[in-house]
Amino acid sequence: MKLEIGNFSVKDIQFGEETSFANGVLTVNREEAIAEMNKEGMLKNIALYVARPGDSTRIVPAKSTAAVRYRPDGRSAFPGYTGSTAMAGDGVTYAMDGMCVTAAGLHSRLGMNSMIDMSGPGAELSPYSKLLNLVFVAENADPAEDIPAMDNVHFVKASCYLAEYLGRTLENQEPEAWETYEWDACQDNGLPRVAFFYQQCNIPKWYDGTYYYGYELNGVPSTIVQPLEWLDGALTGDGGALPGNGVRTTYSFLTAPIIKRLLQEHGKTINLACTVLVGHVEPVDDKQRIANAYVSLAKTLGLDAVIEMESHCGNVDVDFMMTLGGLEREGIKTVGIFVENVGRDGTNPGKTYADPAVDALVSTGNTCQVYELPAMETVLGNLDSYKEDPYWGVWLSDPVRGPSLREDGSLIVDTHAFMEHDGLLGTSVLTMKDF
Amino acid sequence: MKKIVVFVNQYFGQIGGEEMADIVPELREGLVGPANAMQALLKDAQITHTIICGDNYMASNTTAALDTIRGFLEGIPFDLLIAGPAFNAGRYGFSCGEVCKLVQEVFQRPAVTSMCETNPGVDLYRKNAYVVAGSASAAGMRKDMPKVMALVNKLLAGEELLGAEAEGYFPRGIRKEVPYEGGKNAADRAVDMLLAKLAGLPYVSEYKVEQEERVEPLPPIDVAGKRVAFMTTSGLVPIGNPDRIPSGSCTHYGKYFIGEQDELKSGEWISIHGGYNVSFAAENPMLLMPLDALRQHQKDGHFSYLYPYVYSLAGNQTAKGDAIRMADEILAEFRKDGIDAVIVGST
Repeated sequence: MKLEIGNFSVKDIQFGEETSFANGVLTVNREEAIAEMNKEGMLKNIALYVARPGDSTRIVPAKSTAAVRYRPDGRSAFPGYTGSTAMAGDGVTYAMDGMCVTAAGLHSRLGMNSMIDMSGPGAELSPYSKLLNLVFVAENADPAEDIPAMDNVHFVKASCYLAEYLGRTLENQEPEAWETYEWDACQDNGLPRVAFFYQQCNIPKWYDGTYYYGYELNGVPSTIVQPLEWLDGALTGDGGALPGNGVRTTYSFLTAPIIKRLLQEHGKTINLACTVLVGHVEPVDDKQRIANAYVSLAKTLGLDAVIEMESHCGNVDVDFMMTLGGLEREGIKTVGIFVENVGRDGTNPGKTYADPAVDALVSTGNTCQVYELPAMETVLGNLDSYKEDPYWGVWLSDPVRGPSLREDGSLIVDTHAFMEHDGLLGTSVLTMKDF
Repeated sequence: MKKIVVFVNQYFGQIGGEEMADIVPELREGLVGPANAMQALLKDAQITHTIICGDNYMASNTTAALDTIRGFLEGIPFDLLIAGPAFNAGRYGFSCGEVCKLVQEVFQRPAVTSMCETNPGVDLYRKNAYVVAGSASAAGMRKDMPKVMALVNKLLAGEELLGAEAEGYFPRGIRKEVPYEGGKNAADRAVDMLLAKLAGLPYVSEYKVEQEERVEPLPPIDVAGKRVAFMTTSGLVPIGNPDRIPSGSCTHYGKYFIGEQDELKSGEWISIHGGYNVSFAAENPMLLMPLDALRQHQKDGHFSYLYPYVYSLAGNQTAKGDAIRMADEILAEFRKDGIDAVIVGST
């Protein structure tokens, strides 16, 4: 399999008569874009904005992001989700580089929404602060869906429809730069067999988790995914199963640095066997069962090593650590990527459960480090939702710090509040230190 | 100008050796012993006093010694205390640690000491003070002192610290996120770590799995005839969440009236916990507080009284400091109401 990604660098986004892409400028016809993204009619009161890196702009509540893709062969950018089902991971796809489509709303009914700051200290805390954001702010058309389990679902899908619509401007254009990835399952090339285990938050009957070709994976213990499928639209974003700092969006699946790096090593230093979407379970007895199942899967695949990404923190620590520890005891070498949960005062144990056999971990930061942020000139969304709605990382009262939202619009929040702050698919440039 | 107090034992206080180890704490104005070398390395601060205490006296009369020292410090304006260095001396390490702990806990001011890593005081007190890694004996004083004083100068100036390793002190049990040196992303760090591990080359894990503190359960108690209360970290709240209890990282809790009810009804209670599927709790809130079972036990005479309120918060990601504070507040109310035993429901 060979996936060629033709990149188009986006320098600016503006609104105009005709949706088009020329000379690095993406022009968007607002009315047409809104109609295309809302073709299922699930949203209302939709407005479009542009937020640029450096702007005094705060996007809140941010719900999801998507990357713009276009398949010249006519296949849907997100097969099985926004169009008919087809295999992803082979052929040519076009990509807009330097921008994302960002879904935002007015309320956070599940507490798992987040913020993107385009400047100031908060701009260092989300990967999306560095991109041009084409932002839509909307509400669910049906108020009956303003409930936790449904709050973000249509926003995620609309972001993909919008990304696909914008991608069509690339038809008959010539990409500026190419990224090429080749991968075929290979039984033996003399190199260590490695797999990437991606732990989803896919608790059955809870919020929507990751979609696999449009199929909602909650409750599915494991799914083998070929590495190139990630970069070609097979996976689309979480509907809000995790706090905003740990949300995995369509954008992050399509651009995951860990997948790209492993593909670059394939055939040179490792034999990349596959990636596996693993899950976690809640009852404690089941945690050992499912960890054993993942060790069994690794042995069946003949793996020498595994890199596992933990979905977030808390009870998933147990599944994560049991899996890594079990793999190590079977002689399968492991590296874990995880975020620590040391509390706002930094004194809690980083993990609620640890296995002494686990000896190689990459730590991408703290889920609850406290930051103070200045007020912004522009808010896209609804800053007052901080006073009305539940959010991770934002509080109405604190005996020492006072409320998160102050009268002048400045904030004191913790890192849960920043979209995909944990950067576990490889974007994080943070680590943890002892003080 | 910032003011500093120094603490030393009888030997470094130039009173005498082992034969003088029983002397009671003494407060002297100005510089004694190592305080002279410290003063020479201070940027913009003055050591105003030196406190001297015998090692044996501190070890065998700890409370009295600390009370006296506390009395001394209450009478002196100071910004920071330096204790030791204690090198590898066990009793001296204990003295320095106790005095530093007093300063940080009671006076809420930074305390700096120095010990050799094999000094038992390191593990006992590194969470209560900046314990700078030092030499095994006083022969290393000249080498250790600049490290200690560099940290003191930084703390006095309010400069941001670069972390325990960079500043040369033992980790205080506090972790913070910082930019990874050179800006290398987590994907490259993970793959490079794996390649090193596969090749048998050295690598540095960014987190070390350590044995964490464990709370040993106390032996069971007989509650027959006793007053019992129930509290929970499950996020149980009346529908509408009137106190706006957050779904995680709680800094406050709710206290809800149960009265004489025999059960919690669906539609009246929900959970706002952000860490598990709460739809089951909405269908049956007694998964979170088994009020029906509690009433049955009460009727069967297993205890006499059930507290008519439930205390509740979402227990996930609560900072340890907040957890201890809220537990103290709730405990004070239980004591006031004569509660003998508490059942804590988790999730």
